[in-house]
Amino acid sequence: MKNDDDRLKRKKVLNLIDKLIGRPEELPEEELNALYQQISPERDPKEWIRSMAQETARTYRLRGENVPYHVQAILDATSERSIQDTKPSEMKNLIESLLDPKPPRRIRQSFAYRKKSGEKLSEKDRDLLDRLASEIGEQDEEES
Amino acid sequence: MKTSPKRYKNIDLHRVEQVLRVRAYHLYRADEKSEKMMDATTADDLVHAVLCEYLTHPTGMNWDPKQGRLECFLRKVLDRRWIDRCRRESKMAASFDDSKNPLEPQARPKDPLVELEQESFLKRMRDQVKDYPDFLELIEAVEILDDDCSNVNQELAELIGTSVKDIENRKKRLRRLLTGFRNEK
Repeated sequence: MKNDDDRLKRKKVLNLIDKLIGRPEELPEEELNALYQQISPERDPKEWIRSMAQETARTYRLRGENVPYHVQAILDATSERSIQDTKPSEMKNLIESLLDPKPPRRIRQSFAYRKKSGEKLSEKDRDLLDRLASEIGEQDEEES
Repeated sequence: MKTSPKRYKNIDLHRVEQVLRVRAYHLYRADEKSEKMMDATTADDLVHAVLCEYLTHPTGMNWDPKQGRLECFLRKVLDRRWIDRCRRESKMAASFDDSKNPLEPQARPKDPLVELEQESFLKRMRDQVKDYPDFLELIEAVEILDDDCSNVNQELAELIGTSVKDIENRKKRLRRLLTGFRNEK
């Protein structure tokens, strides 16, 4: 019975606060940012939440339990990736792409002009375009 | 309850923290009595406690996106923890008073929730904004508003005889005042 009374009283006070100043989650982003800046201008929320999540994750690991999804999600969302965090398969792909870079896709600059409608190309124009295209192709091969 | 990693994607942690901190700050500032306790239990501690509770719970307090956004869910948790703290502090204060003057009749512990009742809360709020007639008018209107009214700003505007825009503006200025901005007149 007393618990019911307590709950009712609590609800009334919070109801009043909601009516008088509103709920922060319903505020426009701009206002929320301004209020937050006023309260804690020098705070780094990302680092603060991350350190709490790291501490919690450590506790789980020490108990030999898996880190729950909701904790891992915070660690993932706030992490600055390092080499140690990278999976071996990702690391292998990264090294391979560095050691053997794929050549960039070649663009045949003359194609667009050749297909242009309404433009008549003479034999002389075609010869010139072929020669220029082959020169570009040679340059591409030399560069790659 | 099976948790899915999908539900934790697209959570804006910065916003979650912003919402919790602003709410905690407003709760403490709105209640003069709890503002006095701020040296012991600051708004920061409360946010920390709520986030720790969420993190250490094996399934993140069973939050489900169907219940609303995470910041909304945790804000409700914070509200409850704030009330619990106020009650605890009031009980402790009452017991200290009691031991000092055991024979004094007024030293008897009162129901701690009396302090949190609607009227005493509104009185404290009025004391804080006594130099702002438009805020006092707003508090008066809130006091007579039905608990179950759905469109709060509209009804407040009708009670005061002003526009919804003006009500929104007053609330915005009141929030700023409680957050520590100056010159809100």
